[in-house]
Amino acid sequence: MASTERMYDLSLFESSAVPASPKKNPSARPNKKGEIIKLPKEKLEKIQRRHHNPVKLFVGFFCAIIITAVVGSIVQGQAQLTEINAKIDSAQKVLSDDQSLYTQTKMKLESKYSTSVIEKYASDKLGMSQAQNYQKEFISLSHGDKAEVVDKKPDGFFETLKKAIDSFWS
Amino acid sequence: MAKGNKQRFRQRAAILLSIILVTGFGAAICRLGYLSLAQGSVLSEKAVEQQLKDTTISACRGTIYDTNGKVLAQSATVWQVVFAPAYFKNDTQRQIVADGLAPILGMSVADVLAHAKKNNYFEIVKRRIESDARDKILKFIDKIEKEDGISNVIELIQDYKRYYPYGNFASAVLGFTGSDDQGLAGVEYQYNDYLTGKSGRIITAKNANGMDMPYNYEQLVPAQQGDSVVLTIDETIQHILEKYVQQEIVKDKVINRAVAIMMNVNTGAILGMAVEGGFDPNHPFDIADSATASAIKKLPVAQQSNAIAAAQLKQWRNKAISDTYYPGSVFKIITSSMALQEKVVDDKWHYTCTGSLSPAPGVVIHCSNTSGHGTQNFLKALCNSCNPAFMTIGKSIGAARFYKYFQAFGFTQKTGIDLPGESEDIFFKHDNEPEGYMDAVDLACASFGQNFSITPIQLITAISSVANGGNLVQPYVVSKVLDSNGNVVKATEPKVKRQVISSDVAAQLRSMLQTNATTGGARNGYVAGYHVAGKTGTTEKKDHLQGPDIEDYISSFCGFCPAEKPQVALLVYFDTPTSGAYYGSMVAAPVFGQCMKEILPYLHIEPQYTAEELSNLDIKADSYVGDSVAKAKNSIQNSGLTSIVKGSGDKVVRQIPESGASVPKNGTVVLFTDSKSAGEQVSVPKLTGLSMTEVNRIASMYDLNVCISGASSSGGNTSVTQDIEQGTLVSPGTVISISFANSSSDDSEDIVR
Repeated sequence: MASTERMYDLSLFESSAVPASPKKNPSARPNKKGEIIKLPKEKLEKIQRRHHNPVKLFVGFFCAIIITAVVGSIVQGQAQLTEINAKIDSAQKVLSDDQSLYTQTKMKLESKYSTSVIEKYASDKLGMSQAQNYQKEFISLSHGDKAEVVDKKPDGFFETLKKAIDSFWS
Repeated sequence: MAKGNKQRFRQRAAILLSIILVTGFGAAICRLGYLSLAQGSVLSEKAVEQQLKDTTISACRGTIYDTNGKVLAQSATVWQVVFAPAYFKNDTQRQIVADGLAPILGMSVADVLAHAKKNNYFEIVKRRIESDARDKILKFIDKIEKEDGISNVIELIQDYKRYYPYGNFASAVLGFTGSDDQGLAGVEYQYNDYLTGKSGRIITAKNANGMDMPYNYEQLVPAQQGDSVVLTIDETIQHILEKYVQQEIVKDKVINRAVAIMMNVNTGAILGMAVEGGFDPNHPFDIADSATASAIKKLPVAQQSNAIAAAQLKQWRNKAISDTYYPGSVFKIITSSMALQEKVVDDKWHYTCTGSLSPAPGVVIHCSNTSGHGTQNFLKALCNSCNPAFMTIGKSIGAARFYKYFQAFGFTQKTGIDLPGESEDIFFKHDNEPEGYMDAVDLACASFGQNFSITPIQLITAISSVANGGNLVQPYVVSKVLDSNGNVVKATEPKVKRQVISSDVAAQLRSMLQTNATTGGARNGYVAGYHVAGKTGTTEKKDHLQGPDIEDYISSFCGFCPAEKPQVALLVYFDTPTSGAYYGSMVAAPVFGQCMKEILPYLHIEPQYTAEELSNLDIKADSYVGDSVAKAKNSIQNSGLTSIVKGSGDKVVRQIPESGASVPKNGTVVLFTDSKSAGEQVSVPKLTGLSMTEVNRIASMYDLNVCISGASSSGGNTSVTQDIEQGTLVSPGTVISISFANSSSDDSEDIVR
């Protein structure tokens, strides 16, 4: 209902007989409980001035630094990871290329040094011949010291139980 | 009143708004639910297809090693050059690229230009280019991008190439791969599943043009390299077999290929399988035989493709396991096993050979000695390879028992060797008769290995059972399969299929075969210091490759060593020698001896020389250069050699044979005492086709030394080869190696019906 009064200026429809309500002196009005009190300007400013807790300030600042550092390190780590991954990829590519080149070269080399090629070169160019049996001496070598490792089978249930009991009593 | 109107208006507005919101959002949510739940899988597949690009990464094929870890086949990453011809803007660009790439790729400009003129985004120009060409192409791509503004037209895609570093070495065993890196023959085919790895994938995001969007989304599933295969083949043994078989093919003009198989008699492992007349696995589709290739080129164009296909199939065919042949007298080893096991023959058994035998009315089968061997015991009959004696033995064994042993020795089944294309035997067949039925003539012919055909691998497997005490083993060529980390995925264990004959019978037969190889018909396979056991074979073929009126033969020899405790067995056979010599003793036996002479020391089998062999051993020449003539002569005499001095100087300036070289016992050392005499040379005379005495006499006339190998000193030997050709100029004292063989014929299967 109060809102209705504000919407429409009923004073336009009412007579002038109704006396206007007297103006009140705000400073002389007695303070009732719960009413808004108007304070002097200096006091108001003093109240309105922010009171900062230094401890809270320090803790907040410290936390902010830590969070910034953590986020920064995460971002930097990701960036580094991306860079390293790119380097790994390119290094692997280079490795793959080199391995391929190695295999190709090795195969070409092996074909040039096959047993038949070596034998032909030795006999045709160097005038060499196969070693005869009389030029070979067969030597029997001793087999040397040997150690035999016994492959132990895993213990069965009862053996495990017995060992557990023995260890308990020992 | 106004207040009430306002409120109602507000209420209606709120309700209307709610209805609109619920209807609108509800419909959207329902549609979303429908798309997600009902069509979710279909739409996500379409989205993946549209947004992601899936590129297959082919896996590297596994490597093939010999038994000692030597690489026989290996794959390496190479590249294929691909055009995106649709990105060429004009013909000028095409010409620039064609002119630049053609010399790098080894293609003509016209061919490259033809690829550039296609209207697609993926045109393969050349496959399998190697690193050097790839580097040149990358430089070329940079160049044309900077100078001509041509980009995105050439791409290099990873590919694989299979390398066989030793060319046609062991080609029949290794096989080859096709254009998609799949095995098409040999071990490559048989073990294709192991050798082929698992392809990987790269999944990337692509834009509307189908191009990759880097850093947006990429997932890699790496390819898994194929497993590697380790063969039982020994590269050194394989090389020795191929070398001597090839030499013999050239010497005796063998026109239908040759085979040599060496097997470990106790395990069944194949140590060497030489099939000459093969191909180069690096270029499997090229016709390796130049004569065949020339003949094909002369054919009309319409006939060439068929001829090429036939020639390719022939050269790819593994004759050792795919072709059957009449085993001939080598089969007498099997017949002897049957006879001894069934006690059909014993120490008292004897037979009188008159030169022929008639197993059935109207049929006469001759012996190799048409005048007859006379009375002979079983050992003599085996050493003489007497056909009538064995026909009699076969008759005593009987057709039923003969076929039972035939089956027991594994001739009626494939051996199961791990190579593709193995054939089965072809045995006698009679209509309305059970399997294995033989009439009298069949049994007679079968007794000496004629008129039925088996594969070489079946024969050597059966004879290995005689060597190892009677156990038929499973032959195999792959010992293990390894993964990319070297872990054993699969290993082949030696397998004994069954015992065919008793160990006593096997021992008795080994002793007889050793006698045969020392003094009998197989003495041309003799190797000094080693107790070889074996049997020769000369088989008459039914098809006439040389012409309708010319008989074709197969020369073969099968033996094992050492006779007392055999380690290895070797079968060599030559299909259709055309030089005039065709007996097994003349063609195959010397090759057997040459191979064994090199292989046995390699296998660390120590020679055990008899006193006679020791007396014939070569000795090493000392160094006499710088010594006075008198001192040198004295030293030479003390070594058991003879000296010849050339020139007029006081000191020796040169000697032949040189220091450390082998000199035959009682040989000659030529001492040159001045530079003039040191340049003296003689022309090597003809030393083949002569007896040992004549060779020594002629050689001494020319001041040459001879080194004798081949048949034992039991006489009746003729020189068959000399390592330095007649007419070659050499220094006096040069050692010429002469191989001897027994010239008497011992195997001949002439059938007259």
